[in-house]
Amino acid sequence: MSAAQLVSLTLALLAGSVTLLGLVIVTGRALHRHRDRRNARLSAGVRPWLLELIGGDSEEVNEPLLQLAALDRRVWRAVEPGAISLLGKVSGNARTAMVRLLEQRGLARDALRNLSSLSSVRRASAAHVLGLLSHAEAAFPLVRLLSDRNAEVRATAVRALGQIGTAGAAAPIIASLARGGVPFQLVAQALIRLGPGARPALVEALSHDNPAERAVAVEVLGLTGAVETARALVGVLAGDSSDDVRVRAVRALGRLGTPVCLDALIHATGPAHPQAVRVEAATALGDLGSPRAVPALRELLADAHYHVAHNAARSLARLGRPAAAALTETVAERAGTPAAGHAWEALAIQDLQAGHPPRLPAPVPR
Amino acid sequence: MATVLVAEDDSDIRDLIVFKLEQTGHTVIAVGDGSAALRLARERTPDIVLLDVMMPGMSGIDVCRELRQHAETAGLPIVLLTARAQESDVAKGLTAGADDYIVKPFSPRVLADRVHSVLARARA
Repeated sequence: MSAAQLVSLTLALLAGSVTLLGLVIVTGRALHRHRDRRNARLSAGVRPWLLELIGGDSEEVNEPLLQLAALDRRVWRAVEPGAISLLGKVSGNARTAMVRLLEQRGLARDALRNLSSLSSVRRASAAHVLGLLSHAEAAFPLVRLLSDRNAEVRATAVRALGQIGTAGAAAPIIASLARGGVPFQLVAQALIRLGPGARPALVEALSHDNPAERAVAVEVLGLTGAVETARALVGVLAGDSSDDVRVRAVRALGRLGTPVCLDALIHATGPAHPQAVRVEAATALGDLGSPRAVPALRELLADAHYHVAHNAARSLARLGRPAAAALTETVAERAGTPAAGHAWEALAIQDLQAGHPPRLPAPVPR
Repeated sequence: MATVLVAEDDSDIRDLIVFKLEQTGHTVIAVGDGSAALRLARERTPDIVLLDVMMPGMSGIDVCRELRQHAETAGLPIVLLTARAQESDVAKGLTAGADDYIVKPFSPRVLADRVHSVLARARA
């Protein structure tokens, strides 16, 4: 075969392959569109039953439940995505009715089986469904999924475990941070959903080696108002090796607001602590809301670090009349200093937020 | 029974609200965005308006504020629909003039009861 013939043959093969590929793509798309249209038609016919199931009163749901449970497999496959989507949008009797239907259709059974599928999309999708169903039996298999090789699957398992609410899953959920790939906020939200039953595992995590695990434990204890853990959090603030964890401990103590928190936060504004901790402590004293913090915050108005002084002034503005008096006196007595500037700014913002102009004239810098 | 204007961009939730309110005897006008809600509130003067907080374009809070600023719609009872994560928006909505709010996911029965009680208060 000559070179010219070889080139012609190659070009012909190439053209043939391109044409074939084009045909496959066009046919695939046409089939996809056809299937979508068919599914839309099938599910539109059944949608009134779905709405009746979740929108009806409890005594009216038996008829649509029977109709939907008896649908043939082809129609149900068209309806199922819409039913799952609706499940996440309703609560109360509507949710109970929808869970009954989906359990009857074998959705939980199929999802449990798919948790060990070779496809990561199927594993994640199964975890998602089990979470939506709050299927308690799925807790243990979902904990196993926390060590899945795929980060998306691990993240979906964390969310699902939070939705199911098994407190025993708290420790493995916290540990899922060690491997990376699961967002911190997702883990925090899941732990919050587990409720007070998760607290022993959270307190235990305060002494873990991984700072991300300690940080999430601190954050969740603060957000859930675990006042009985205030002393443990004071210990974290005093001795943790990570500034990020200590800053979160400050924030958590500000939210908890017990007397032991107040003393620890006042101490945390001292010069021995890192600036980030001091800045956050100045804010947390305002969150805590105790007038006992006024003298310490008043002193901080003269702090050399801008953000410490600024946050102290904003906190004072939130602490009622004695604190407002401390700000006013600072403006008058220390005119021309940065402390007076911070105090004036905090008072002016307070006035503007209340809808009237600043009560004190703007300070003139010396 | 009343005419209810519903503005919700999620078609699942919109269909469910329409179904439930029609089941309880109301006439429902449903739209998927804030601008259409504002236009229809002026044209059709419904008895009550349900607004999703998070909609493309005009948010429910924007619509609420606009409705309160015009004499012909200023007195309309308004209920906001808000996701749990947007609960901080509730204060903004109430400041903008909303009468009540419902957190998603919601029970359709509770939604119908809330609409009924807001209407009853408005008519009292």
